[in-house]
Amino acid sequence: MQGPPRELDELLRALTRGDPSAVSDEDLARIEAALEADPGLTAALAAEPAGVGDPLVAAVGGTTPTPTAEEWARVWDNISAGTAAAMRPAVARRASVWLRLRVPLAAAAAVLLAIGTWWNWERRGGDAWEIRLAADVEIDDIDMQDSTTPVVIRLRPDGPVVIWALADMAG
Amino acid sequence: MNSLVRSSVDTSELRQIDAATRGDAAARHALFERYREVAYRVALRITGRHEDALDVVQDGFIRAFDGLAEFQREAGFQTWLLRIVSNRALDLVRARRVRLAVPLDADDADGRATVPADERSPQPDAALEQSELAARLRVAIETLPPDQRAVFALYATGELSYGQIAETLGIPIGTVMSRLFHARRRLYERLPDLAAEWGVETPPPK
Repeated sequence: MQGPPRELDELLRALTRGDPSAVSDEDLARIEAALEADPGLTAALAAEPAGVGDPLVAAVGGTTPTPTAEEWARVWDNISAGTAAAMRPAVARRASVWLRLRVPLAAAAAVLLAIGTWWNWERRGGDAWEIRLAADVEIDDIDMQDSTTPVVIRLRPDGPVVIWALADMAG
Repeated sequence: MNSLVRSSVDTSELRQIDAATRGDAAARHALFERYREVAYRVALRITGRHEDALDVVQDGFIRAFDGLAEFQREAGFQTWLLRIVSNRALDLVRARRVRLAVPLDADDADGRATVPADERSPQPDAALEQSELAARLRVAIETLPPDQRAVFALYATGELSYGQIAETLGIPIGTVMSRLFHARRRLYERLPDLAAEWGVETPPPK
């Protein structure tokens, strides 16, 4: 069976070797396209063991802690129980109904604060809320699930600021 | 779906799976003992926390045993279990991963992964070095987006083929290679001293 073109073969080797500088983003796109088009190439790569000889893998493996025998026994006890009670934490932690309710409580508090701020503003006959694009907010990472819209309440000396985080429609 | 892996699932494991499907506790325990370590390593690399990883392993095995009747034996129990474990771990990470900014002490001024102050402890030199390396790796891995983190977690077990990783995550193998490439590049950007030590050239940070 004829092998892949030499350059592609070299790129694949660099990729599996974990050499970030030897493969550009354009090369990566070519590799993905080639894999999609060639089932034989896909099968050959699929059979290759991943991580062999990679010092990063060795470092990660060498620094992974090992659960104790007691911890494994507790995990197994919970698994073998196989009931709703088995969904309790594997490691004993203080259970608190308030911890489980913290997210919905925080959401409710945010909504109440927003309503309260609006009502207070209306009652004082203030101007309509200023709506502007925030230029001084940096959100490094935020999880937006389904149709929910994250709301952030930022408290400043001159009053709260409500920040609605919207998905970047530009992609 | 055509499997990328024509796994030669051994017949002894198939017998164990059949027995486990019937509720045989000894067979289930045997499967647990055989795959708990790799499941834990994957869960730990995705969640970054020991307690969460144990929870995920526990939950994963419960779901796996509960769903044995639907399990397709061609793929292998390990692949199927790790799919459940990685999905569960990602769910947990996404549920708690709402943050506004990276804590200032997570990285030093050059963006390198550093050890949080409260994780340093007085230990003998070799143990301290290992402990700090573990913490730096954990911090660096936690900066990976969830999809890259899942691929890297499976890759870092050193026990799977690229095809098994693709099958576990239900993604094309080209996507595995792409996410892995970006994950490693990002990790080496965070760990430039280790990259230099290992002779890995890194492109300039983006």
